[in-house]
Amino acid sequence: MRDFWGFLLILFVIAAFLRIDFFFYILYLFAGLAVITHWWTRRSIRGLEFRRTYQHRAFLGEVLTTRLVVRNTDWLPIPWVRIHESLPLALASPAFISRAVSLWPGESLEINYTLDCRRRGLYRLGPVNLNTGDLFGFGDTSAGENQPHYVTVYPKIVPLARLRLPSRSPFVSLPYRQRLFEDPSRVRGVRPYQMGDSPRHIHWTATAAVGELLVKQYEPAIALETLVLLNLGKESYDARWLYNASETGIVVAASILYHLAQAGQSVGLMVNGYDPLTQAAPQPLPPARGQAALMRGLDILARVEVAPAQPLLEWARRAASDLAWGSTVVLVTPTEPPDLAGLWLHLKRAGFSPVLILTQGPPNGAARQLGIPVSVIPYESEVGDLAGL
Amino acid sequence: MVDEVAVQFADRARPFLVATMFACVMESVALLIQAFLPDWNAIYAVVAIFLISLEAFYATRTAQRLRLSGRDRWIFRLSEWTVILLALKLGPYATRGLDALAADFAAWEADLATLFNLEFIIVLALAAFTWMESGDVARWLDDLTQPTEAGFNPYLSLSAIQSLFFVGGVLLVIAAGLTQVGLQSVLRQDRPPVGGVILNVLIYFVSGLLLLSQARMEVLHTQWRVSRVDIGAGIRSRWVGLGLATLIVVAVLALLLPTRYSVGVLDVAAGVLRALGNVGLMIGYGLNFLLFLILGLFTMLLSLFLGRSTGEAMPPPAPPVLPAAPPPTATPDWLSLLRSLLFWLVTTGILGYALAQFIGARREWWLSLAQHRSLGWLVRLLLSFWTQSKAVAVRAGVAVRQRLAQARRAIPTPPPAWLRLNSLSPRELVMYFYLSTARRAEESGLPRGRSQTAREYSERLQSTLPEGEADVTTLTEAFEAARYSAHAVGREDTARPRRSWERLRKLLRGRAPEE
Repeated sequence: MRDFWGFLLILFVIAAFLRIDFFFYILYLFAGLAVITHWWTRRSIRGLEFRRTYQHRAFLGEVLTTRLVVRNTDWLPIPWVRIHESLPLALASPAFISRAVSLWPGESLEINYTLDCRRRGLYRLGPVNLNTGDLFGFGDTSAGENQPHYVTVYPKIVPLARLRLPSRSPFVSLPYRQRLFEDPSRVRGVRPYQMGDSPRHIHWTATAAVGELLVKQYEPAIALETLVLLNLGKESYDARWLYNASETGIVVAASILYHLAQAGQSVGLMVNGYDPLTQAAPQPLPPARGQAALMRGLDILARVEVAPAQPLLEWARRAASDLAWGSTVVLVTPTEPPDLAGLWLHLKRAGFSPVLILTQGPPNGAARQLGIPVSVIPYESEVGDLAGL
Repeated sequence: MVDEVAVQFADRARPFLVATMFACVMESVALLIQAFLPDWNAIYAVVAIFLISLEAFYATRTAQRLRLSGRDRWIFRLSEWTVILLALKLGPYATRGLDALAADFAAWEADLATLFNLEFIIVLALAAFTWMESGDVARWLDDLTQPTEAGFNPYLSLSAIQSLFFVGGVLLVIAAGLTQVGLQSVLRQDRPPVGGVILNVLIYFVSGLLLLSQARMEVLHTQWRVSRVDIGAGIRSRWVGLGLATLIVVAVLALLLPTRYSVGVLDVAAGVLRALGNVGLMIGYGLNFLLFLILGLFTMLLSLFLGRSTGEAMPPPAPPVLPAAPPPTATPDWLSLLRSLLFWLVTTGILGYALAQFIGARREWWLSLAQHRSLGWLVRLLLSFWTQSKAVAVRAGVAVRQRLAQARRAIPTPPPAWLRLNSLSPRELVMYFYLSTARRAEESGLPRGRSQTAREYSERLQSTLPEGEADVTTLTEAFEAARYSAHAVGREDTARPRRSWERLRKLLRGRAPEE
C-alpha cells in the first residue's frame, strides 16, 4: 500500500510530540493490521491444499474429465484466492481455468474440466497457481505447483485388418523364410500348392480327397521378432511435409506395434527423435512380448517429436546389431535416400527381413531391386493402402 | 443473491462513508478554527461539510451518467453551486431565527460586501475543498470498476484514494492533536500525556479502512473480470464480514498494548539489566543452596562413620560493620517497567520497520539526492551504510535459512517403537513405515548408507529382496512424497505403504543377518 509506511512514521512523530495516547492506539491499529494481514496471507497460502485427479493416459479421440480439488486446511478463513490452472492448448480451449473464491476453514472447491484428446503427445497439466491476499491491499502472495503432471495421448492405431495384411503374420510375402519359424507338429490348415513349396509339406490325404495338390500350413513355432525403426531425424524431412509425414510415420509404427503385440509376437521399437519427458532421445525398446512392452512402445510414440538426429544409416545399422537372426526390421522413414542400399545389403546379409515404409517421397527403387517390400503411405488416411507388403 | 445485496449495500454505503470521513476531518479543523474565532459555529460547518460531500458525490455520478459536457456541464455545475451558496449562507439562520435573517438582509441591501463575512468565507473555502475532493473520490471509485482496455487504470484510482486517505489522516491527526493539547501548551514538554478516545479520529480511520477494503475488492473484481476469471458466489458478502471482523480483532489486540510510558528508554534498559542481574543472582543462590545441601549430607554421613566431634564449637565471627545505606531512590515498580518496556519495544519495532520500508520504497529519491553538490556526500554515506546493513541482514537471513534447510535435510531418526501409531499424522505415519523398515533392514544386515538416497537404498533392497520388490517401490515412493513434497498426505495415502510395511516386516523377520 503506497504511502502507508510514510503515514505511520508521521503518525508516530505526531503521537510522540503531542503525547496523545489515542494516536499511539491508532498507530498500533495500523501496524497491527499490516502485521496480522501479512501473517494471515502467508498462512492462508500454506493452508491451501490441492489435489488433481485425472487419467494419466488416453487414446486419441477420448474426452478426459479432470478434477481439481482445492481445500482450505487451515482454521482461518481465506478471504479470497484466485486459482489458475494452465491447460495444454492442444487439448482445451481456453487454455486455462481460472476461479476466484472465498473459502471457510475446511471448505473445498471442486473444479471439473474436460480435455479433448484430439492430438497425440505428452501434455503438462497445470501448474496450478494460487494467488491470495488481504482485504485492505497490504499485499498479495502466490504459490504454485512444483510437481509436474502429465497426460499422455496415444497416437492413432489403425487395425491391421484395414491394412490388408494377414492378422497373424504381416510379413508372409517372404514365404521362403517362413519354414524357419514353423512347427511341423502343429498343422493349422491347408492351401493350394505353389511353386517353391517343399514337397515334404504336401498334405497327401487332403490332396487325394480334393483332387489337387494341397500343402500343409503350420503354426509358427518360434515367435517372429520384429523391430520397428522410426526415423524422426529432422534432416530426413522436407520442411513442408514434416508434420504430416512424421505423424503418419508414428501412426504406422503404432499400428504395427499394436498388431504384432496383439498377435503375441515379440516387437521392439527404436526412434531417433526427441522425448520431451526424458529430454533426450527415446529409450530403445528391444523386442518383447506382452501388453507392458506394447504400452511402453505406445508411450514413446505418444511423446516423441522430430529432432536433429545422427545419420540414418549409422543409426539403423547400430539399432539392428543386437537382433536375433531372422528378425524382421521395419524401417519407417519419410524418403529413401540413395545410400540406404548399403543398409539393405547389410541387413539381408545379416539374415534379417527388411521392410521399408515411406511416409513422404516416392521410393528410388533400390529397395525394390533388392526384393525388399516397400510401401508409400503419405497420409494417415492412406494407411489402409499398405498392401504392398 | 447475497452478493447482489452486498453490492447494493456497499454502493449505497460508500457516499456516506466518504461524507463521514470529510465530516470527521472537518470537526477537528472546525474546533481548531474555533480556538481563534470563538463565535464561529463549528457544528454548522461539520453538518454543511457532510451534506456537501454527499451532494458532490451524487452530483458527480449524475453528471457522469448523463454524460454531460461543454455548456450543459457548466450549467449543471453553476446551478449546483448556486444552491450550495444559498444553503451555506441561509443554513445558520435555521438556528438563529428569521429576525436575524431580516436584520442581515437589510445590511446586505445596504452593502453587498457584507454577504461575505469571515465565517462565510471560511465555510465556503472548506466546502469548495470538500466538494472537489468528494467529486474526485466518486470518480475514482467508479473508475475502479472500469477495465484497463477502456483507458482506465483502476490501480491509479486505488492509489489516489489511498493517498487522499493518508493525507486526510495526517491533517486530522494534526488538527485533533492541537485541539486536544491546546495551542498554548503545544511546545511545553512537561505537560502530561493526553488520554481518552478521540471519537472523530476513530470514526475517520475505521471508515477509511472500510472504504479502502471496498476499493481493493472492486479492483480485484475488475481485474478478474478482465482476465475472464470465474468469480465464485459469496466473495463480496464474506469480504464485508471478514473485513469488519479483522478490524475488530486488531482493534481489540491494539487495546492490550500500552499507549504511554512512565519510564524512559534508558531507564527501561537499566531496569532490564538489573532484572537480568537479579535472575543471575537467584540462579547463583540456588546453586549455592544445592551445593550446601550436598555437602551437608556428605558431612552428616561422615559424622556417622567418624563419630561426633567432642571439641567445642568455634564462636561465630562478629558481623562486619556495613557502610551507611544510600538515600532511597524512586525505582520503578516492575509493572511500570514492563509496560514501558513493551511500549518501547513495540514502538521501536514499528518505527524501525516503517523507516526501512519507507527508505527502501524511495530509492530513486536518494539516488538523485546523492548527485546533489552540497548534500551528496552525506546521502552517499547514508546510502552506503544502508546498503551495507541490508547486505549483512540478507547474508544473515540466507545463513539462517541454509542452517534450517540443512536441519530439515538431515536424515530423520525413526520414531521410538513405543509410540502409538494412531497419534501420528498421515505424513509422519508414512515416514514411520519407511524408517521402521530401514531400521529392520539394517538389523538384517542391509544398512542404509549415510549419503544414500531413498531411491538408491531401494535398489539395494530390491536386489537383495526380490520378492519384496513392489513393496519396496511403494514404500520408497510414499516416503519421498511424504518427506520431500509439499503435497498433503491424507489418511487414505497411508493404506498402501502400511500393507507394504507389514509384508516387508515379515520378510525381514525371516531373514538372517548378513555376515
